[in-house]
Order: sequence, then C-alpha cells, then structure tokens
Amino acid sequence: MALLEIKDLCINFGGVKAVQNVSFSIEPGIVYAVIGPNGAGKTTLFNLITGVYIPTSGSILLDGEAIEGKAPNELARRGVARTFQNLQICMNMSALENVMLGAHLRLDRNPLKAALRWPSITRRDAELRAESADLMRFVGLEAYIEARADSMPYGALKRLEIARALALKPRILFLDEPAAGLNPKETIEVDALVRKVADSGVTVVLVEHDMKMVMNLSDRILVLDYGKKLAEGTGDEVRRNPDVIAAYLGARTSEEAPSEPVIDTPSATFPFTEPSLPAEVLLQVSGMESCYGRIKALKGINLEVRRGETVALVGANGAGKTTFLRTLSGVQPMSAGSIHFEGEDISAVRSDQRMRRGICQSPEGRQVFGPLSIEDNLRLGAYTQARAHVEEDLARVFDMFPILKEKRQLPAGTLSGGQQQMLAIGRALMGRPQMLLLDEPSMGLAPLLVQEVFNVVKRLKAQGMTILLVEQNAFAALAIADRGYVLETGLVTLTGTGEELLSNEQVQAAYLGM
Amino acid sequence: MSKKTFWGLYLIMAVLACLPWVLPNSFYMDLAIRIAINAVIVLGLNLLIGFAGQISLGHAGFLGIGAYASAVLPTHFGLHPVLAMAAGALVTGLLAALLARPIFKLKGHYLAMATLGLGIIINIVLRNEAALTGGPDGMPVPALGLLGFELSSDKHWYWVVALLLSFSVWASLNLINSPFGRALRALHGSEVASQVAGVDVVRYKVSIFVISAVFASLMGSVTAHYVGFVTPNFADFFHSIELVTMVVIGGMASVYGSVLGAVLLTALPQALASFEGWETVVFGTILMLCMIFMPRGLVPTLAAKFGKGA
Amino acid sequence: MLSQFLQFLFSGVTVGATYALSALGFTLIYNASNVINFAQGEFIMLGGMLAVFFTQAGWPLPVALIAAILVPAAVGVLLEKLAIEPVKGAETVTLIIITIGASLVIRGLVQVWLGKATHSLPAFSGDTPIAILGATMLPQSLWVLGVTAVVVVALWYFFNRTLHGKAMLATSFNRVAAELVGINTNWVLFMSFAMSAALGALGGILVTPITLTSYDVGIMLGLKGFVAAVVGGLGNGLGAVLGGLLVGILEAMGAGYISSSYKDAIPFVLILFILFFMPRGLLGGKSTDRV
Repeated sequence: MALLEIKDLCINFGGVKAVQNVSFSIEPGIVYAVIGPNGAGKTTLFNLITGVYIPTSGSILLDGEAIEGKAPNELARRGVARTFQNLQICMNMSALENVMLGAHLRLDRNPLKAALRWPSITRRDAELRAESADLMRFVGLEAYIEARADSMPYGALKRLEIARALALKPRILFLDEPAAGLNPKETIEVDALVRKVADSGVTVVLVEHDMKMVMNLSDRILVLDYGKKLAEGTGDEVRRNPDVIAAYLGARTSEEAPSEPVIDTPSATFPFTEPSLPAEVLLQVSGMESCYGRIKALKGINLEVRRGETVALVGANGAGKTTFLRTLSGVQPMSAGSIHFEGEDISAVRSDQRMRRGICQSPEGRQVFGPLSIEDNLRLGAYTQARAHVEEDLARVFDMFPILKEKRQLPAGTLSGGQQQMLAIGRALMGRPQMLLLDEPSMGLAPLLVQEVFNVVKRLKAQGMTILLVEQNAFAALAIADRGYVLETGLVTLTGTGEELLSNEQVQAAYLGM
Repeated sequence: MSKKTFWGLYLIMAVLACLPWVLPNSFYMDLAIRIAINAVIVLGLNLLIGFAGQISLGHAGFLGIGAYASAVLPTHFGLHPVLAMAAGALVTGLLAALLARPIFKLKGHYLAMATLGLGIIINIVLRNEAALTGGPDGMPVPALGLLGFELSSDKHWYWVVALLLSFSVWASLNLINSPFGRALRALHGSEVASQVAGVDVVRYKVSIFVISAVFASLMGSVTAHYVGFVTPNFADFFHSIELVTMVVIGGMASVYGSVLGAVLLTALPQALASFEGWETVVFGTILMLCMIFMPRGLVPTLAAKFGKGA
Repeated sequence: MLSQFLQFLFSGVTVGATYALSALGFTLIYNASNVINFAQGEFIMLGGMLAVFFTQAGWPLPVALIAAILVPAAVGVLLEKLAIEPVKGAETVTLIIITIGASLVIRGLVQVWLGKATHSLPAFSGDTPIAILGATMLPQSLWVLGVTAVVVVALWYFFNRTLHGKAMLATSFNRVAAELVGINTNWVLFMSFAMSAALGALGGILVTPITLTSYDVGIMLGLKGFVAAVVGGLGNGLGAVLGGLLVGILEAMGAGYISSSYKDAIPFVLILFILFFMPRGLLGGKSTDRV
C-alpha cells in the first residue's frame, strides 16, 4: 500500500488557486521529487502535506490515516520530518543540541523531574548525546560535533537540519530544496547524503531545482505547473515530455494578437535615446559579489550593457538573477566589485540616487503599492522627476497601457497579475530611465499575458530604450534580446548574442539537467 | 551535561557561605538578602524572556499577588502564612494559565502589551481595595513561621535565602539542559523548527509562563515576609521594568547572567539613593546602551569573548 | 440623566482627543519602522512641561508653544538617530526595551531639571465653562477638540493628497519598492519620528490647562495612546483616531457610572479584551509579525 496518498488536493489563497486538484501517491522506500517552474506551487504543496497550511479541499492519507489539517507537531508524532528551504536552525543552541531537538518526542519532558536532575533523565540525555553525535557523523558533520550552530557554514547547516530530521526516526522525510544556495561541490555531497538516507529505508520526498540532482536521485518525479499536475513518471519520461520542456524553458511565442489588448499601438515614445548615437557602453559591472548572511549569492559577475541594447540575463531559479538586479539598484549590499554607469563609478551611490541617474527597475513580483491607486503608483514612479513633465509622462504611460487609464483611481492591489506587471513597468518608465531593469516580468502569468508583456518589451526596444531583462523564461527572453548572459549559481557561465544562446544546447542542459 | 557549567554554582555557594563573616553590618546583610531574592525572581523571569524568548512587561503583578496574599490572608482571614503563600501561588497559577493561551496566540508587540496591561490592572486593584490591602500606603505582613519556629532574624533569613538561591541556580541549570529546557530554547531559536520536531509550541509557552508566574508569586510572598511590609509599588510598572532590565543586563538566556544582573541592579539604586531623579536616568541609559551594544547581555557577551559557553 | 451622560461624554471626548494624537504618533512610527515607541508618552509630557517652563521663563505664549513642539520633535529625531537606527532589524524585544529605556531617560532628566511639581498652563481663552444641554464644557476642551480635528484633517490631507505623504505611506507598504522609485526611506523614518513627537507634544500642550502636567504624566498617556492605536487597528491612521476617542469615552463613562478609582484600569481591560477577541483591532491593522 502506498505510504502517502494525495487525493484532489486544493488550496485557495484569496482568489488564487495555488494548488488545484493534485493527486499522486508515494510508495514506501522510494525517492520522490516534486519539480516545476517558479510559482508552480511546489512549496505550497509541501506546506500542505507537512501541516503548515490547511487545504481547502482534498485529502492526505499517511498509511491510510487522514492527516490533512493536522499541526506539524502532530505530524512529527506520526513520523513525518522535514527540512526547510530557508533553514530553520536554532542558532542559539549548539549543533549537537539542534540534533537532539529532533528526538524531542522520544524523551521524558517533565520539567519537575528535569529540575531535580532525575537520574533517568540525565542518563537518557547522555545516551541521546552519543546517538546524536553518531547522526552527525552519518551526515558528514564530524568536524562540528562540539561546535555552536552559529559558527557553522551554510552548507554544514543544511546537513545539520537533515540530521535533526533523522533524529526523529521518521518514516517519511520531506526535503525542501536541500541544494539551495550550495556550490557544485556541496551539491554533490548533499546528493550522496540523500542517497544514503534513502538507502537506510526512509522514504524521501524532495522539492528541488537542481535538475542534475533530481534526475540522479529520484525514482519518480511529479511536475507541477500553475498549481496543477503537469506530468508524473520516471526521470527519463519526464525529461522528454514536451509539456515539461515548454513549461520550464518557455514556449516560443507566436505572433498572434491577444484577444484583449492591454497595450495599444503606441504613438507614445519616450524621449530617451537618440538612435543615431554609436553604441557606447552604458553599464559596466565588474566582479560583483553579494551575500545573504552566509550565502554568497553572487560570486563575481562581469557584465556590460550598451546603449540601446536589450540584454537578457537568464538562468535557473536560485542562480542569482534577482539578487543581481537588486544589487544593481542598490537595495541589496554589494560586498565586492564595481558598477560603472554612464562612465561614473556608482558602487557607493545610495539606491534612490541611482534611480535619479536613470536606473529604474520593475521588480520581481511587481511590488506595486497595493493600497494606493494606480495613478498614485505612477506618480510615485516620477517621485524623483521635476514636476513639469510628470503630466505628459503620465499621459504617455496611459497611452501605452489603456487599461491602467481606465482603472486609474482603483487601488493597485485590485489589479490582476498581468495588469500589475504593466503598472510596474509603467511606474519604472515614469522615472525617465536611461536603463530599464525588468525583473522576471513574465513570472506567474498565463501564456497569453506573457506574450503581451514581451510585446511591450519589444516596443520599448524599438523606441531605443536600453533594457536589462532578467527572465526564467529563457526562450522568450533570448528571442528578443540582442545579447544574453547565462547565470548559474552566482556566476556567468555563457554569453553571446540572443540567437547564439537560443540554439546552444548547454542552455537547455543547464535548465533540464541533461 | 558537562561539569564545567556548574563551576559558577560552586562559586556562588562559596561566596554565599563566606559572606556573613565578611559583611560589616546589618545594612549589607539586608542588601545581600534582597539581592539573593531578586536573583531568584530574575532566574524565573529569564526562563520566560531569555530562554523561551517571550516578553513579559507585567511580571511585578505576579510578585504583588504573592506578596499581598501573604499579607491579606493571614491578617484578615487568619490563614497560616505557609497556606497563604500556597494560595497566592495557586491564584497566580490559575490566572496565568487562564490568560496564557490567548496571550500566546499573539506575538511581539501585542504580547508585550497584553502582559503590560495585566500588570497594570493588578497594580490598580491592589491600590484601590484599601479595605483589604491598605491602599497606596500598604500594610504590614505577619512573620513567616513553620512548626512553631518563626523566621525573623536577619541571620536566619540569610541562610534560607542563600539555600533558595543555590537550589534555584542548580535547578535552572538542570532544566536548561533537559529535553524540556531544550524545547524552550528551541522556541526562541526557531518556532518552526520546534514544531516539526514535535514540540507543541503554544503548550510550552503557556507552561513556562505559568511556571515563571508561580515562581514570582512565591518569591513575592518571601519578600513580603522578609520586609515585613508591602506596598502597591512592589507591583508597579517600574518594578516590572527593573526586573526585565536585570534579565537583559546580566544576559538573556544565561543562568549566571540572571544572578549578575540582580547583583548589579539591586545594588545600584542603593548607590544612587541620594540622587533621586538620576536613578531613572541611569536605569534608562543602561537599558539603552546595553541593548544597542550588548544585546545578549553581560555574561554571554563576555563569555563569547573569552571563548566559553555559559 | 442626560446632562450627566453628556458631561461624561464631553470629558471623555476631550481626553480621547489627546489619546488620539498619541495613538497617531504610535501609528506613524510603527508604519515607518515597525517599532512601537514606548517613549511616545514622554513626548506628550515634554510638550506640556516645556510649555510651562518656557512661559514661566518669560517667553511670549506663541513662541513658547512652538518651541514646546519643536524641542520634542528634535528629541524624537535624536531618539531615532541614536537608538533606533543603530539597531535596525533587531529583535522586537530589543527594540521595545530600547524605547522603554529612552522613556526613562527623558522622564528622569525632566524630573531632575524641572522638578517633580505639578504645573498648569493658563487656558487659551479663559476658564468660564460653557453650558450645553445641562452639561458644562470648558473652553479649553473646545481648543483640544478643535486643534485635534484640524491636525487630523491636515494629516489626512498630507498623506492622501501630497506626493511626499504618499511616499511615506508607500514606504510603509513596501520598503524595497519605495527605494526603487527613489524615495529616501531614511528620510521617511526621520520625518515619522519628528512628526510623531510633535503630535504628542501638541496634545500635551492642549490638555495641560485641564489636566495639569508633571514629570510622570507621560507613562499613562503613552500607554493609553498605545491601547488606542491597537484598539483602532495598529498601523491604521483612522483607527488611531477612533481608538483614541473610544478609549477616552469608555474611560470617562466607566469612571462616571461604575467607579472612579478604577478609571485607569479601564483602557487596559479594554486592550486585553481586544487582544483576545479582535487582535487586528476595529479597523483591522497590520499583523505585528514580519514573516
């Protein structure tokens, strides 16, 4: 009988159907992977099964028992353990104590006996200490047995979490992006560790973006897209499935006109570049590094953008694309390297000042000011501009995006995803950019809307705008870009013209782990 | 558990044993007793604030319940002091248990507000029910006696309190390194991690709140019997803040830090007694400087510098 | 019957206006920085005390009043620069304790420099009570209500009709996006503390002719202002005003009809009630947790 059975699982957040009618089952003892593009609902699915969210409908059966809606600590009682994408380690305790925490349910937790130093408790604790040290050796952390958690490097902490999960003596272990933030060497080590865990009889379920790792380890794979089950099968079956390929790399966009036009044929042009100027280098980035706490997200990026170009920055999830744009705009600190814009070194310039120099961004996830009206959002986009031309710029944006004009007094939060994306781009345009940064404009949008977004990008390009486009949807981005860079775990691994990269098999391999 | 964590306890016990011979007069004896009492209170509070990572800005309220139970019940209802102490602890425990669950569904500022509100309400009640409590002027507390033996001389009190302190430090150290204690500390470190390890987070928060409150109540009774008099100031907002300051200065999540914090901040008002307004200023400045530069408190910061763990 | 009710209502609304100003101060700072400023009450106290001090020093009333607003604003900015900015991103407990420490410092300094005595200010337009439907109202109450109303309208205008005000709001909605459109979020923080302190001080000045002032009025006023902000919904400006009025009225009603010695307990019973049953407050504020 299947160890875990999911039937028609659904969850809605507000109006968004994050997971829709997903059904699958997991046999005991296998390694089962859940994959899918950004925003597909993988982590939501995990959170549903491990008790973080309560499903709107559907059932989850663990060994025949319905567990949907049970709290995580109750699930722990039933042998369900999990790790977290963004590490949940108790930094205030030692490494060993973190592992011992995992065995919590197996111990006598009476505070009175503990305070009085009851012999049975002290004895059991000493035994547990030895057991936990063994577990740390099992996961390869022998060097840190005496260490405090806050002195350990990121890669070690990821294994520590696995050790803690194993201390529970689980029947089924959920690993949430175990390779996230790791360098290639560490990834191989984690890969081997997961194999070791699976071989010891624990059923493993993992969410992971690193395709090589997924293909290596998994017995079966579930592919999600837009919250629905897209495909299921062995690694080979999944990787050859054309729907899966399209979902990850992006379908080649057709030239069909959309049924509900969001953009009009523009008479609107933005007075930025004079097409007759030779292509000078507008942006020069050298050796850019940036860290999130212990993770080095960018490890030395070199990149340049010439005036009037459209440059695409593509790469798998977690490669560092958004980090790059945020560092460029100054909202993420840069730990090493330099940025030269229009010939000047802006590495130490504050973020709002960079914006005044003409680096405007439409951020990942749109980030509109929800409670404020569309018009307010746009006017705030012109916050740094002289009052004189705000009205005409506003008129131009409305020309370009008529739907925004129609809804101008409504709160931005009531717009659909696609409309918010238009707003975000419009807001950036209000800043009269010399260089427009677009961070994943197609993320989470239905294919038809994706096409519209790229049409907008094409039109802006035609008007001479310099664009730096970050996208997970490699095909669409590279198809319209002059040049592109491929980012992998914080470093540029490939560069070339848009066409060169499009036909380059390495790009496909990077995405699908072939 | 490693032996070296207990060195501090042995040191404290040694100091406690020698102190009566070293202290020049009864003023210092009294100070030592007050310090020891505060240390025990702070230990209990630190379990809640430092180890479990929760906030309580109204703990003096629980002190007040215990203190006034020991004053009111024997005086007006003829209850034996020991029973009165137990009654106070029971009432406090029930109150804490009743309010804990809804309180701990809140987090951060809301939690601080709720505990603060509770403390203030208790204070106001004590101030107003003059018939029972003597109102703002307070009331006397009968001596604590057991089996015909009355605890009245400073010397006796000293040894009782010294034993109490030693026991509390010992028990706290044991507790911290037990499964229960680990779960508590994990709450502070990562609630999410605790949950997936099987810890019932709300239940633990409630437990530690109740334990820490009952502790406070008992110590409130002890203080009342020792001083022989009790006023509503004992249960006011400023006293709650003083206690939190002691936790914070000495070291959140540090057993020895609690003792150090109590030593420093019980002695300080004595030193500043002649500079009335300055006491407040100094307290405030210490709080701010400590939180800005040494957010973990004295003992953990120093211990980290010298490479040990406490 | 009616006149008694009205009497309580008038006094409740008057003191409620002060709570509203205090609550607005909390809201401003909370929106800009996610910090609950426990020193807010001390700004109220400073307003009253400094107004007294400056007028006693012989300054003309308008000058004294303006100074009594500007000085606390400066103190607010100082607090932000010295105590909040250095610890950006610290744990909630840390921030709470820092602002409590700041309130102690301010109160202690006033106690030392200006003494423990209670002071009053002359009422702005005389003491003759005005009779309304059998109840009386002090002219000063009208000043309190009037000025508060003007201030609330001005703030509403600032935040909803001016670009800078909207920029401050935008910062509270999405800090990163605000920086990306070129808003200087440090300036927003700075302004929030200054405005918040000024609001508190103004409230303190207005109400001193009625309730008097001394070095320790700040604690209760501040705490009750916080209660009002939570009751209305933390982070919601309109909620702060409504919350303030509600707390003031309930307090006055409770004192009048139930028991005047428990007057001070009423706001805190109210807060416990709200926290247990409606933690988001009446108008639904933000969750205090940063996920």
